[in-house]
Amino acid sequence: MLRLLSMILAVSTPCIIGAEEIDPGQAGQLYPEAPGFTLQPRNAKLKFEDCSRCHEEGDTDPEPRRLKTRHVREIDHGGNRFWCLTCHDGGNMDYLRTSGNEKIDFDQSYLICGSCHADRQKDWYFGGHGKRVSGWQDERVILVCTECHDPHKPAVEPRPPKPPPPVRIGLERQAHQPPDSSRVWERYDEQHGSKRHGQ
Amino acid sequence: MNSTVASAMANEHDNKKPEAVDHYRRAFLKRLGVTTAAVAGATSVHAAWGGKTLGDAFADFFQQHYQQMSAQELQETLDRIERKAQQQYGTRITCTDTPPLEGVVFGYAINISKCKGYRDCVQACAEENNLPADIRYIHVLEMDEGNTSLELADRYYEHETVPVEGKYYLPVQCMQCDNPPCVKACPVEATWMDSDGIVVVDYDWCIGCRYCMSACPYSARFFNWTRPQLAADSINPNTNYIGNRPRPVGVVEKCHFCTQRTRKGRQPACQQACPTGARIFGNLLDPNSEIRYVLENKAVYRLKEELGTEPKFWYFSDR
Repeated sequence: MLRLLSMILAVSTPCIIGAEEIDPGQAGQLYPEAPGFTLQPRNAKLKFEDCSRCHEEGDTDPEPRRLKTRHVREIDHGGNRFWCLTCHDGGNMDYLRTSGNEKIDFDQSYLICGSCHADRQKDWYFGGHGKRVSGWQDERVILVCTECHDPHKPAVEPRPPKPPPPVRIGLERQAHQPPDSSRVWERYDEQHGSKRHGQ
Repeated sequence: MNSTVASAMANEHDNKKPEAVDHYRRAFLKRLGVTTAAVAGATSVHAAWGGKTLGDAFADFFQQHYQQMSAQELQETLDRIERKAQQQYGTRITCTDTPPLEGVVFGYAINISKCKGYRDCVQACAEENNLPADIRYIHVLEMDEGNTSLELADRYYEHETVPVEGKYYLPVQCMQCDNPPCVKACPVEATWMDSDGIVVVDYDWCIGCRYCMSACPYSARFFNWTRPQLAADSINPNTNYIGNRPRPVGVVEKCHFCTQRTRKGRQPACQQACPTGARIFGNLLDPNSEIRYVLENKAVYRLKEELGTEPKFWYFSDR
C-alpha cells in the first residue's frame, strides 16, 4: 500500500531532489508512464560550484570564443558545434538552459542531454540506461547522466581491469588459444597425410 | 510484510514435516549426543570431534533436508552453523533463513554495449559470497567483435586498460534456468528451484557427486575440492543458509542471485558494484520494473537458447 502510494506520488511529481521540489517542466509530460524516481543529488560534487561568485547576473559575453581561465579548455562533445552557452544559462551561470529555453538546475542536466540523445533519455527514464543505486524493491534512486559522463567529454576513459579469475590449485592456466576453425578430419589429414582408414 | 512471509514459511516447514515418521531413533541419538557432549565437555576433550562438541557432530550427521526441517530444527541448524564458523574461521557470523518473497520471480539482464570488462562484479561477488580462492561465480568473457561463439572467448584476459579495441565483454554466471538441467541431474534433490525462480543448493545435503556440474550447459557450478580457505577478517558476516554461508568441503556451489541480499530488497552485489550500470535486475512479475522494460523494448537474447533451459538471464545491446 505504501509502495503504491509512493508510486502515485512519484508519478504525479516525477522529479524530487532531496527535500527541494523542482518543477518538472517538460519532463513531466515526456514519459508520464515511466516509473517514478529520485535523483541522487550531485550539486555538492561539482568542481566549480556557485558560478555566480565570479559571473554576475547578465554580464556574460554571448560571443563564442576560446576561454582562457580556469574553465574546461576543450569541449570534446558534439563535433565542435557546442560552446558554453549551448547548455549553460548565460543570464545566470548557476543554472543550465535547455534547447527549449527553460532554465534548469545542474541536477536536471538529463533534460538537456535528451534533446540530442532522445533514445538514451527514454531508456534512462524507464531504467534501461543509467545506474540505479537503491535496492530493486524500494524507491528508485538513480544517477543523473553527468554522474558518469563528463558533459564536456562524455566518452568514459578506459581503465585497468580487476585481476583475472584464479585457476584451481595444482592446475595451470591454459593460454588463450581459439580452437582451430578447420574440421577435425582436415586437421588429421594435415598431420598424417590424406590416407585415412578405408581409403 | 517480511515477518508474515517468514512465519508463513515457518508454518510451511511445519506442514512439510512428515507426521508419521518415527523420530524416536533420531531423538535418541541426539539425546545420546548431548549427554556424551556434556561428559566430553566436562573432561575437555571436545577437540576430538573436529573441534565440534559431540552434540553438534551428531546433530550435523542427522541434519534434515532444508525443505524438510521444522522451524525449530532450522533454528538449531543456523545456530550450529554460526558456532562452526566461529570454531573454523575464528569469526562471528550471523546465519539466517531467507525464504523466497511472494509474488516475485527474479530476472537479470546485461547490456553488453555497456559492459567494459572491468571485472568489478567478479570481485564484489567474491567478497559478498565468501568465495574460496579458486572459485568465481562470474566470468567476464572477452570476445572478438562480431563473434558469438563461447568457445572463442578468453576469460583470463589481462590488459593494462579495458575495453580493448575490437573486443566486447560478456559476463556469464548462473543463468537461473526456468527448466534447470542441474536440478534434474541431482540424485538427492540437494538443488532445486525456489518459487522466486532462484536455483539454490542445500550445501549440507549435497553429496558431491558433481552430476549437476556436468548437466549444466553454462559451466556455472563449482566444486569445493578443499575446505574453503577464508581469512577471518575478509569473511562477510551477514550470511544465510541457502546462500553465502561458509561451505563445507566436497559440495557444489553456484551463483544464487545473492539471496541474502535480494530477498531483503537489496540489489545483488554484482549489480551494485557495476560502475557502468550494465546490469539490470528486478522482478519479472512487476510490469513497471526496469527488467520488464528491457525485455519488452530491447532486442534481448539468451545463451544456448536452443537447449530449452529457459534462462532467466538476458543480454541486450544499445544498438
